[in-house]
Amino acid sequence: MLIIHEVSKTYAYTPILDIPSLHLEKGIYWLQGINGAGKTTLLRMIAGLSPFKGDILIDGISLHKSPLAYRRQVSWADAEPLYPHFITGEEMLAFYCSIRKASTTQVDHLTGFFGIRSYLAQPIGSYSNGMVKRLSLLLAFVGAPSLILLDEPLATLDADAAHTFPHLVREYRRDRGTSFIFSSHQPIAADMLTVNKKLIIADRTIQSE
Amino acid sequence: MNTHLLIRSLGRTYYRQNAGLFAFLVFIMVLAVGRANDVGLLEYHYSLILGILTNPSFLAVVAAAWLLYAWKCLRFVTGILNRQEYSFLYQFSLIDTPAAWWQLVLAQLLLFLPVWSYVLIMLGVGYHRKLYLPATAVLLFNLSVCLLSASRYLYLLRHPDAPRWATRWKIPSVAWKKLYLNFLIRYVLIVRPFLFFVIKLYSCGVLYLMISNSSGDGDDRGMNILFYSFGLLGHGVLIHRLKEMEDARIGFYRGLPMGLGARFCQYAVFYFLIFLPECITIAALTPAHLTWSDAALYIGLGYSILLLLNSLLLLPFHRILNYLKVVGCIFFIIFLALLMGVLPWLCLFFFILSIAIFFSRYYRVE
Repeated sequence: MLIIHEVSKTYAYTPILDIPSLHLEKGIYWLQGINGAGKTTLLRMIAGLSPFKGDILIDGISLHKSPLAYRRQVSWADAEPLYPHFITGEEMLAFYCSIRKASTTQVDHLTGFFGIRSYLAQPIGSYSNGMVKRLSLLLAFVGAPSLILLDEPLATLDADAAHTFPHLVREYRRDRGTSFIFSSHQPIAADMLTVNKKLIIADRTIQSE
Repeated sequence: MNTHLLIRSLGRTYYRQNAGLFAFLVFIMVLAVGRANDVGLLEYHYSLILGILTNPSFLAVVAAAWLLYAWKCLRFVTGILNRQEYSFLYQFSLIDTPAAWWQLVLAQLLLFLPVWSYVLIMLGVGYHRKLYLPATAVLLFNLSVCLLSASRYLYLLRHPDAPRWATRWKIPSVAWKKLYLNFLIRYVLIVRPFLFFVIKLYSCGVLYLMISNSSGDGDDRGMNILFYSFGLLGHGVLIHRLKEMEDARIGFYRGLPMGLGARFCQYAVFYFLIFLPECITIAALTPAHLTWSDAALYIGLGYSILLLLNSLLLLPFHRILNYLKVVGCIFFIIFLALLMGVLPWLCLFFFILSIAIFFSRYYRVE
């Protein structure tokens, strides 16, 4: 499903990541590493948000050779999402839906699941951090990406949302065959979500456990 | 100590944030106008001040501009109070009312410094020319604006839940909401209306006044094009701010499945809309003061400059100053092209360059 091929990343001439090769089959992966190890950087690179040397392929589609087709396959939710304060959640959702070609049924299901229907019409500037986080997670699930990248998906979520969120991941995995890579410092109970493999970032490279 | 902290928090942030705008205003008030009218700088401002003080309509327009500036300051302070890193400012609400109010008056005087600098010169001219009534009116007006603004800041500090007089823009069409340029337009109209207004006022004002008063000879034409280009390059400040917002808050857009051509088209339409006031001004001057070919040149040059300024920000400029240096170089290139008589080719070059930079750099920018 995901192939990382001779990928290296530097910030201001400082090497951050150097991954000669990595093949991941479809499934759910938990990305772990200490603060500053490069988890977010790697996820942003896979999402096509951060430039790097080398190439990444999803289902055989190369990010560099077919950027549009690649981006159709991948979706991303930030750890600390930020949106323009003057835009409403509804507008942001309409924008995503028009690009990701999401159905009304899917949107209704997601807004219901994340419990954000009541404040979608409000400008995002009036949302709490938790509300913005819920919106960002919802947007990552819009459409039919084959890989969803979630950076600290449980951070700032309340206990209820953090408890129910794995259900949605499981549902997408089961019904749509969607794969997930998420980073999280918070442990996820094994009965809630079966993680296929743990990926550990250390010494600027990635190892699977 | 408290005053020092308040002034540093508000004053320093404000002037840093608006450095580009003030540089632009200084150019308009000091470097541009005197030479443009073929008189000395002092004579020009002396006449301008006398005009303001003796003509009530002119004075009303200037007072409206001061009010607009006060509104900008209010929006800035409101924005600061909403930012998490400045939440400590709410401690000022615990100080006695007169002391807190006085500190906020000092802070407002600092924010209003650009206005006060000119008002003081106006007072000197006014009292020297025995124009006591309008000069005193100018003094009292600005003093009242500052005192009332300080009172409003104090109210906001004491009532964090008070309505912020935010601008609400309703976008009627559902289809419109689905376009990326919707975010860009609303950012300009809601977050940067003052900057946009000042740039458009200068750009369209200079364009209209210079062309409608020009004799039509070669020197005048060249000077008109240079000042027009400067106004358009002034958009660089706005475009840089826009890019900052895009990077910080709509960075996800780069990860969405959209072709590069479609992305470029969104920017092309957006900058065409931004450029509309100049187009309307040029249309109003054609054919009475501008030939059709000159009108096409003005439109082509203006639009290509805006697209180029946008694409240039995909290059790694770590500081706005470096970007503004490149903007300065573009002005110099326009000047050279004007001397060599190759401006239409330069427009074409700018168009091609903006497209080339966009397509080669869009996904590579960090």
